[in-house]
Amino acid sequence: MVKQSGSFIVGALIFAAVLGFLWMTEFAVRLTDRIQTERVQHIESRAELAASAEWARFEALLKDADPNSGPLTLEYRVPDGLSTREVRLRVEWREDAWIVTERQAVWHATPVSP
Amino acid sequence: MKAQQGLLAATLVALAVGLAVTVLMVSIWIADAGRRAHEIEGRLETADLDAATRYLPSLFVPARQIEAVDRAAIRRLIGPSQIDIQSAQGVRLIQPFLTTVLYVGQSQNQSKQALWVFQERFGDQTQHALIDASGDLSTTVDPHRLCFSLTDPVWIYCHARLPGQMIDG
Repeated sequence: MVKQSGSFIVGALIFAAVLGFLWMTEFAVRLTDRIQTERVQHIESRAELAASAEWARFEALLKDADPNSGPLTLEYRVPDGLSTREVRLRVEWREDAWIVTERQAVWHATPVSP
Repeated sequence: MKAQQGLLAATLVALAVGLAVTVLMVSIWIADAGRRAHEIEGRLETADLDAATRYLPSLFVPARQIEAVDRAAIRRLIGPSQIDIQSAQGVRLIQPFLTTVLYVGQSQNQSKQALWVFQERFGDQTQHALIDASGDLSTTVDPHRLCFSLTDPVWIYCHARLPGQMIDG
């Protein structure tokens, strides 16, 4: 009687272990998927924030610019989804408005990603 | 004798039950294997799209001019090529000394259609497949944003206009 119940318990434990292993595998896969999706969404939202930040910096730099000073070079840095974006713009005052004639963008690695 | 017959009957019943459970488990496993294969395929596709989402800003952000182009324009831009243009539209990115064209095409050397990236820098041309993509590529353009979408996989990538950039339809 004792032997039979012992076998039953061992069988039940093996069954539970297999089920637990499968559940953990599935859980790990789902968790990895969720983390990757969140990372991409984070990158996308940071790229959108970078676009807003670029416009804000551009407008702030132009506010102080003197139209009579000739062509200007504007430089600013914004963090984006990849790393830190450094932008250099060449602007000229033409027909009562600032016109961007050149745009250069390069990225600088961020040593520790936030 | 009766005890032996009873033991035989019990053994046969146990074997039948064991066999039935095994068949059931195997059929569930086979059905699940199909689902898993489909899921893994989807996961790989998602990983490709995630990689493309990380890569495309490196093309769009430095661009001076971004425009939607039709198939005839793509053909004119890339010239004679082993890649057959499949999409009705594409996206052209212009920056000094570099022109980039994104379009869906089918290479003679590959079995699947793909989203291709054509680049010409100082007359040197390169083409590489970014992700597997069949069907069409369509664009939505307004003065502040350009989006392009793929039909298979269903995917949309949008780029908001930045200072110094021009977006044309």
